Amino acid sequence: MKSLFRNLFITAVFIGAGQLTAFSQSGGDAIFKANCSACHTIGKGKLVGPDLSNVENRRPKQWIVSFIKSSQTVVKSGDKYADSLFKAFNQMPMPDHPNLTNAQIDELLAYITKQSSSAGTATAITELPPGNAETGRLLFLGDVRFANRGAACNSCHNVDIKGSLSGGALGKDLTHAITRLSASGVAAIVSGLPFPQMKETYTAHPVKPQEIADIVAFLTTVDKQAPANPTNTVGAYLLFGGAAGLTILAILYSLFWIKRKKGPVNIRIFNRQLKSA
Amino acid sequence: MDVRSQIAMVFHLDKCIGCHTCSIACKNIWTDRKGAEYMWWNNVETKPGTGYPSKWEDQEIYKGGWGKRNGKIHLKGAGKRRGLVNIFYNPNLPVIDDYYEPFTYKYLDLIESPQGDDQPTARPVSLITGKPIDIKMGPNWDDDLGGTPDYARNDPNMKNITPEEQEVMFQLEKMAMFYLPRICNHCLNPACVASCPSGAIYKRGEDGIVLINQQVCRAWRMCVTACPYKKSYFNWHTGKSEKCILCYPRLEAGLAPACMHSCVGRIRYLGVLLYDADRIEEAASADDKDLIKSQMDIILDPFDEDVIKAAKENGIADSTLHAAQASPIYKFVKQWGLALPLHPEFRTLPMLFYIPPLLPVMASVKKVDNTTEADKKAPLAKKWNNDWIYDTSTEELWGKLEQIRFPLKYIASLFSAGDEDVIKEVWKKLMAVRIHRRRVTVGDITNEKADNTLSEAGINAEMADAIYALTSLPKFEERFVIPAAHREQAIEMMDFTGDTKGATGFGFKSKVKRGV
Repeated sequence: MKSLFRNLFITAVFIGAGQLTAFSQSGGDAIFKANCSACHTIGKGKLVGPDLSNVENRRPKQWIVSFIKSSQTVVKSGDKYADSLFKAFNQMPMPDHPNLTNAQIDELLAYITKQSSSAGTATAITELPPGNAETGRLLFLGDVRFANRGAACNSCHNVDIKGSLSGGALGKDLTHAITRLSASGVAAIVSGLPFPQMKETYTAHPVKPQEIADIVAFLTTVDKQAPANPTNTVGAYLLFGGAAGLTILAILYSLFWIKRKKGPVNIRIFNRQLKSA
Repeated sequence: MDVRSQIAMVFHLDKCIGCHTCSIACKNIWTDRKGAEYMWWNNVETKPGTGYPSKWEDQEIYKGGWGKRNGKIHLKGAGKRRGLVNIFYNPNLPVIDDYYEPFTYKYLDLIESPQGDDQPTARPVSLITGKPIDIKMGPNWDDDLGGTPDYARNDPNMKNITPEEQEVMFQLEKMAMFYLPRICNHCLNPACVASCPSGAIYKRGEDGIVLINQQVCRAWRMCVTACPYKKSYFNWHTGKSEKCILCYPRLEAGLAPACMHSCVGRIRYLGVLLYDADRIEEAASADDKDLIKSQMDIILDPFDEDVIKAAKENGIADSTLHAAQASPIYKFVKQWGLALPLHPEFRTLPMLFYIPPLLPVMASVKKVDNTTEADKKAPLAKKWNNDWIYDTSTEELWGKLEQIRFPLKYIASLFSAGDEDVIKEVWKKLMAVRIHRRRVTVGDITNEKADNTLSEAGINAEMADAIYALTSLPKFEERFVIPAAHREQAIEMMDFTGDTKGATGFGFKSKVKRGV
């Protein structure tokens, strides 16, 4: 019985502590850092998405709230402003935030308004150390492992470079990522992890600043070297190469097992039998 | 000398009436399950015929059994190197159509169909897919020589028989057949055991029953290829191979296997044989013509003092030795030399022996002149212009061996690897017993003639009487001499029974918890 009380007490303490931390993180500052700062600044210019300073003066509050909750719903609803915004920023959809409550959004907007007046105090852009493109290439292709054992970029992303296997098709093709998002935008995405899949993958295995710098350096060189409209021949190669390999294997196997038993021994009887339509 | 005991069997083919009761008994007990519908651990074939699965005897197709090269035997379709190369694709497996696609009928349609213009029918549906099918064949499609041009004529045993002889075999008036019931032979040199990559198949030490451990089986299906009798089957539902278990749960309880117990013709005998395990490889490696002799040689005399001593040293129980001495199998196989293994050339040393059918000539076909008979008939009567008659009056009661309805070669290809003299000897004995008993019971045969046939066959009157008694008048206990299983001793070899003492019966069901 004594131990039961002890357990209850400990549980209560932990729950209380958990709520405390939750409370302390629900301030506008924390919400901004966790959800927005990867793509947005306040008064520091555009990143992946637009600068958010004085956003409340630009759009009605109701519009902002629904845009934060699900940007694509607003875009698809035919809202002209949202559509032009979407097009202006490389058609990069802003992730949905269904978990943010109205109260939290209020807090967030209050924070943004406050920061806007003292412009530039909230710096989202962390200065990157100089990056090495070659190290970046190895990291991107998975030839060298990330220090925190995160997955290599080409598991999900492809870049148009010669002499390597094509990357995955789950994420966006990153050949011209720098043109689209700017170097600081890419860096912000890798460190801030705004996308759900990247969040899943890298939260437990964060990428170090030096590594981010290397990858950005690599992507910058790729961006310069690759043609403006990369021809994605990977699919065709895979299809035809695979078909050719399969044919060769099939021929080899059928030669190896040329003496195999082919079909049932009574096949001639069966072929002669009448069949219902 | 490494003496071991084996539960062996004899099937007396002259007594088999082809009723398939054995197959049904086995099916009802063991293979009436999903994935096992197509299996007939016990099946009855008409010979000549292609059997089940079709042409199972043709190892050019199925690569079963052992081959011999440079005096050593090797598995034809499996084994270490060949098994490894073919482990993911076994090129010689029978397909479901070689057995038959199991089916049932939609009987409920007959009573549940709504009223309509047409009579409802019960369509055949596959037991595998559940969809309507066209039935292609069944497990005994060629029963009683049905579809002879397709089946009986393609019997692999016809290989060495000339076309002229084949024509004679299938003349309508001379056509003959017999039934061949088959179960797992529980061989002394089982190819299935040797072929299994997982080591899932084993031959039980105490009675030689060959079993597949369902926990260890990994569905490589090498045993299906390796067994030349095609008596190992793959269950497509469980993904394991299965085979005849010789009803070992029944045997351990002192009951005969279901197929034998239910046998209408009482053709089946079961009992213990003692054999010398040291000489198995030697016996299996003999030349084709010596195979039967070498197999008979490793079967030991259970009355021999040395054999009994060696058997006891090997832990064979006294009750098993007594069963071996009373075994009907020992009498038929060794003492009387009447029973032969099926296809000894597969070199698996099968422990199921067959007494070949005598198929005596009871009649002949003669050409006669019918005109005078026909003229006597009334003007309106139908006059047959057939001048052949089926003549049932023979000079001798059963005719002579030379007149036998089947070419000797055919029976020899089944039971003696082609050696006709072996079959002839058995037939002489079987005929001598008949003639001797005719003398005793009817008395229309002279003593001189009966004694001559007996001595020609190499047996005496007492032996003939004993063969007659065990063939025609055996009691249940004489047909099946089943040794006590001694399960308790078998368990004690593996576990200390004291460990479980008090664990069952009265008392606590679970252990009492003590301490922190």
